[in-house]
Amino acid sequence: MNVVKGPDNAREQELKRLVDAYQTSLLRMCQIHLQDSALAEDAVQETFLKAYRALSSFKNEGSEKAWLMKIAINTCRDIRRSSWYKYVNRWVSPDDLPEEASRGDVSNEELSSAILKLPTKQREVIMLFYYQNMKLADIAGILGIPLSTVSGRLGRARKKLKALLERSDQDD
Amino acid sequence: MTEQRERELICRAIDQRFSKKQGDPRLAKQIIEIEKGDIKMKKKLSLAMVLAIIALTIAVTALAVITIKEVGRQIAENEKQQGYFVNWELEKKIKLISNLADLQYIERSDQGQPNRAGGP
Repeated sequence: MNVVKGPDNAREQELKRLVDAYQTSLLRMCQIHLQDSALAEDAVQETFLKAYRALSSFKNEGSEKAWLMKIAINTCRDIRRSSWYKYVNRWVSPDDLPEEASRGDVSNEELSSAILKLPTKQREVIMLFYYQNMKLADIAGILGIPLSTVSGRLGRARKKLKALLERSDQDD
Repeated sequence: MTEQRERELICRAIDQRFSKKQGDPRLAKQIIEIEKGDIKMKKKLSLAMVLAIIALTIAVTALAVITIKEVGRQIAENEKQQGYFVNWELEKKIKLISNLADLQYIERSDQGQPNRAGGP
């Protein structure tokens, strides 16, 4: 991504491009992270707002995707830290309930439910590594933790998901 | 199983689960308007938040109803024993007002006597 220092119109065009490119994947990542679709929409809006404000200072040191993911993860963490989230999270959101599964997709449902049940830190790594297709070094940078920690979390999460992944593979 | 295969399975499972939720096509426009101050950032109410607000409203209403009922019951009980205030004898009224003044619910007049509400 280029550093945007031009008039507002150029920034607006850049924002539109970022929203088109990353909105859906960010929304799903925030939904997995927060397990609440309304809060996830707020988190995505906040993420792009922060990105828009920081566009002119963005330095092309890493990828724009990693930059956006870092903002999104931090925004989700802020929401999780809020007392309101701690209060409402005791309740079951409709998103936590399994959707009606059609024939043949039971293993998908089981797999996504298993991901949702992982501890938050492992869920973050799984989402960034598999869903966002990011490298371990980038994930370490985004989460602000050593590479070995990322590797350890990923290993533990994979171990928990292994049986389901193998079953999903056989169903295909 | 290869890493690539695991990735495919996980992406497919997540995309399928959240397939009903798509991005908002107006998001970029909204953010620009928020930044310009044309609109305020709206927080969406989650189902849990709505339920909590409803529960709080019901609790406050119930408390108010209980309080009003209790006050009404006490007044009714008093009037049952003593009769209606307007029908009381003057001495009784003076005594009540004096008691209220002692308890500092009302102020005494300049003469050091409580105002005689309803009295001559």
